[in-house]
Amino acid sequence: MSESGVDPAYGSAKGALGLNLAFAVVFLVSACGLGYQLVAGTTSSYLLGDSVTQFSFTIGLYLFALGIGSYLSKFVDQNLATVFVRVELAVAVIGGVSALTLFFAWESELWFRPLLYGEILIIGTLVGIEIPLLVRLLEEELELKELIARVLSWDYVGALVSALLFPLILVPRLGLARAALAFGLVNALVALWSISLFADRLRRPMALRIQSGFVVALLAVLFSQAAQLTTIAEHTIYAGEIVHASTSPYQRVVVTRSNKSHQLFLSGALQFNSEDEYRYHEALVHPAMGSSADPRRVLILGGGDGLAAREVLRHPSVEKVVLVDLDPAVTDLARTFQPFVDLNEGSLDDPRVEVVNADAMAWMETGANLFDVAIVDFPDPHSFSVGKLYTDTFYQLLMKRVAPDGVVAVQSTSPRLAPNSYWCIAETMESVGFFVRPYHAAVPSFGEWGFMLASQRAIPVPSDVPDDLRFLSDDYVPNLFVLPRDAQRREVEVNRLSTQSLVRYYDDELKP
Amino acid sequence: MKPIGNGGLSRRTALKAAAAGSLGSLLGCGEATRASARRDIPGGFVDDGVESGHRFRDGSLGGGAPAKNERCRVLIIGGGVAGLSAAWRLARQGVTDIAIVELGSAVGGTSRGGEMRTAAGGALPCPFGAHYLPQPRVEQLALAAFLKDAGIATGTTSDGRVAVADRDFVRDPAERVAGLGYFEEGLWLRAGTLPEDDVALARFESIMAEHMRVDEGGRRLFDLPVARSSAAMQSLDGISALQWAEANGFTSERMRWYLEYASRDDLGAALQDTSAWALFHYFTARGNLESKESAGYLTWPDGNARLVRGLESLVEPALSHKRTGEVALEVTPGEAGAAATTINGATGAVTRWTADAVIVAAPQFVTRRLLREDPAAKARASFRYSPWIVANLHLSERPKSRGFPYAWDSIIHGSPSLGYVDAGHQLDRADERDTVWTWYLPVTDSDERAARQELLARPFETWRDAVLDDLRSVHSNIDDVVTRMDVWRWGHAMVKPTPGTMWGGMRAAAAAPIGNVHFAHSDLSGIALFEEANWQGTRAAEEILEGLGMAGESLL
Repeated sequence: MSESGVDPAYGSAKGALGLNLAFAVVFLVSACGLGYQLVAGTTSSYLLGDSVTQFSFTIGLYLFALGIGSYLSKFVDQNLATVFVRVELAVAVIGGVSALTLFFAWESELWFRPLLYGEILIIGTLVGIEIPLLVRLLEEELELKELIARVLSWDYVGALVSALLFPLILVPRLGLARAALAFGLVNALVALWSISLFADRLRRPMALRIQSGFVVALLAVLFSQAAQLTTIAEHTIYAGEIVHASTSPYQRVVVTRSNKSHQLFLSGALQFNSEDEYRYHEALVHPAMGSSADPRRVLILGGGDGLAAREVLRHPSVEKVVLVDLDPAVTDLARTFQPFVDLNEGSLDDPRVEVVNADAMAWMETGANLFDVAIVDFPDPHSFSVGKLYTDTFYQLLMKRVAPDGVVAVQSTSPRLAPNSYWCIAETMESVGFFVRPYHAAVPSFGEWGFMLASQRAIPVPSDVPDDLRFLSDDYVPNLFVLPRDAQRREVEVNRLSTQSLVRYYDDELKP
Repeated sequence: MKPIGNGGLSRRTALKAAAAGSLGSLLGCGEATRASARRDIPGGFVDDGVESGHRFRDGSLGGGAPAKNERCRVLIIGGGVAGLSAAWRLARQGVTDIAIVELGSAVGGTSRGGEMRTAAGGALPCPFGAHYLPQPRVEQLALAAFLKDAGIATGTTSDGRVAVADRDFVRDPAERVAGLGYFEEGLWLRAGTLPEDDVALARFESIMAEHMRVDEGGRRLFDLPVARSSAAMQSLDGISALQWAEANGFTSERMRWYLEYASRDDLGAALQDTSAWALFHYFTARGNLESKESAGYLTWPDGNARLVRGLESLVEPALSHKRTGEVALEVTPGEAGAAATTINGATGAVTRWTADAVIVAAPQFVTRRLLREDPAAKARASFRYSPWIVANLHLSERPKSRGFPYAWDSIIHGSPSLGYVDAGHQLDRADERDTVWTWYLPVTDSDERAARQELLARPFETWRDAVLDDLRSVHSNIDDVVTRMDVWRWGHAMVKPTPGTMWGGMRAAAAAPIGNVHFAHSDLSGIALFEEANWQGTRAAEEILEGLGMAGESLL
């Protein structure tokens, strides 16, 4: 039997019912096609922002791709029904996983947009092939004007229904990833159904049934696992194997392991790599400790991983360490996660150490006792809420909690990658009356990293550190205070609560 | 714009969005229906004074118990910012034995603030009304002196403003505006703005900058206080801000929204009900004459209640009486001194006061009922007031938000509300925990009386749903994070600067003392600003100091 011809039985025996079922196929194909377009537009608006641009591009590309598909359909001469079913299955798979793949890819600056527009083009082209094929499959059934009228009406009705269901029911009830999978499932079921509908014109209907069944099963499994998949998506972001992941009210806490080292990420930003964290923490802690005549009372702000505390405790003069970190999820991890306990040498459970889970700015206003050394180890100023912890108002509070001869060390971003940010911190500390000595150290995981050593009085470059360190020695410490040519001072504004200049500098310098 | 009435807010918001882009509105509708079933958020009305004020008006309050006689040096009726400022000015000059009588359960008037209980049992400060003060110039003598007395001012800046600690300024980022659910920094929405809109804005700004200057006599065209302004621009008071905007080609949707927002936000009135002079005043009175730069905003977690606390603590030592929940019934100017009758709203106890002088620091719709013979009765009857709804929402965490991150003030383009202010933004904490949002709706209906009746008749649920619908258009999961909502209905929140009221003579008539009875209220300035209330109180106090022979250097 020729596939391009018409099965007489189709027209007569199955009659009007068969025809109506065929129009239902048109309706569903169109509804799903628009659905993927909405998924793409919404996902890209959600991930990239600027919904006007995203939706304009999505709609334009999709309509264009429909045109490509329609044109390509003329090259299909044989096995129309088989091609239709295969195309339908391809749409089901590519469209169904479209939102998931976009979520997986969105960390990649390089791949996200090509993937987004590629998916839109492919789905549009495939759907564009389908409608002409359907028209041709039905062309013997009705006269052309009737056929075109019906096919196109059902096509547009499908688009309307999809456009209504998507925002009203699908996204609110299912979320984006599962909404796309639901459209994919419908496409796959349509493929199965078309196999029955056009069974007489398919060469190997059983093979197609098996393929369809496989696609349905695949999408159904993904649909049921969509929530866990979001976690898996993180594995693609992190280089190493994820060995701990939790979400606190403040941030996402992820620990990875690669080779023999561990890495801590807070909300996606690397905090330390156990391989070279000693360089960072020795540089952060010991110049300040060495500049204090008699460091007995030490304040650590941030540093919930306990690594700065470990370095502080190397100094036998220390009697009391108060560590203020916002997030109990981090300090608990530092106390209970064995690789971390090994790394920080149990510093947070040392009887000299008191851990306070509080906001540093609020905490400083509540007490009055003075410290000999303050180690300030906050995340980089990547948001307005963290930016507050680098303002002149904050440093005024800090100055009130440090003894007149006390010393402060502040982690200060990278003088090479973010020189405006680095010098903005120096400028801001000086604006409240601190004498500031900027310094830096090479930490391979971070690159060239910067710090400020500060006091209310002028202090010399320190040259006295404990003997048993891995990175610093008495001879080497003065080198930290020599800044290379590409990190020289520049004119920047003071960071204030009312301006948040630092967050804006940092955003300019480190956001791609 | 008719913020209350049938239909609710969300449909209107959605329709406005629909005009701008159908896909966006479709998604917006989806978000709006998503959680509309969740209506179990607790809360209620927290406003006070409404009831006893009404009973006084009905005449059902008063009589019965024998009156008690009290004497004081100066009796101040009304414990809002004008009354407290009058007491501050008197106390500053050494006057003691001052009595303050306030209708509400606490002093502060529309600058009151308070706390919202959190789910965890704590409390977060929040405003109930006015919530910021533009950084004054040092020529605003009374205000500068008060800020210094209250320990808020630290000196003078190089450009002639009152210096204030950085932490008391609005913290960055200050404001953001959402179009179609996506936030941008600032108030001027860029998405969908045409190049001609930007040109129009620049033209408008240059017109305003031209009006930041002094006249031949050295007076600013538009000054704070209003009373110091030049007479040169008074003809602008003859037309509405809408007429002015149309005559000058500011008719595009964007420009119209921008001007309307400014008018609703700061003057409580739609453009058609705003004097063009008042709109110019808003845009120019705070500008620096050289740089044309506008003042920064001072604000606190509980809004202007911080300033009220400052005033309260400064006047406390000079007060012999401080009565809240006390309604004034009558004020009588006498040969030497003045008399007044007040009644306790709860107990019905009547007090007859005699004083050297009385300051009626109440709005004119109250004042006109207190005076038996009032030469300014007609002037007082002409004042109009806009009602406002202020809703405080406690949130367990900040809800989802797209685009520019959270700012102090979040504005929803196309909404009848003004958006909301995040009280937690000014707190010294870096975390993103629970917070309080203060949502503002100026009721700009031209028929204030009908709007006011409807506003008071509607149940709490109407407002709760309207507020949530409004916020849901930009925060899809708002219903999941709001733990409580307190709604304050202000029947007469702000005097409305309608055309003709700024320079029509009624303000001067209403402000003129009658014997030893003096008048102080921001409505006498035509604009409901903290600066004006403070100045009017200072003025009334200095009139009395003159009479007492205690006048010092004037702060006017």
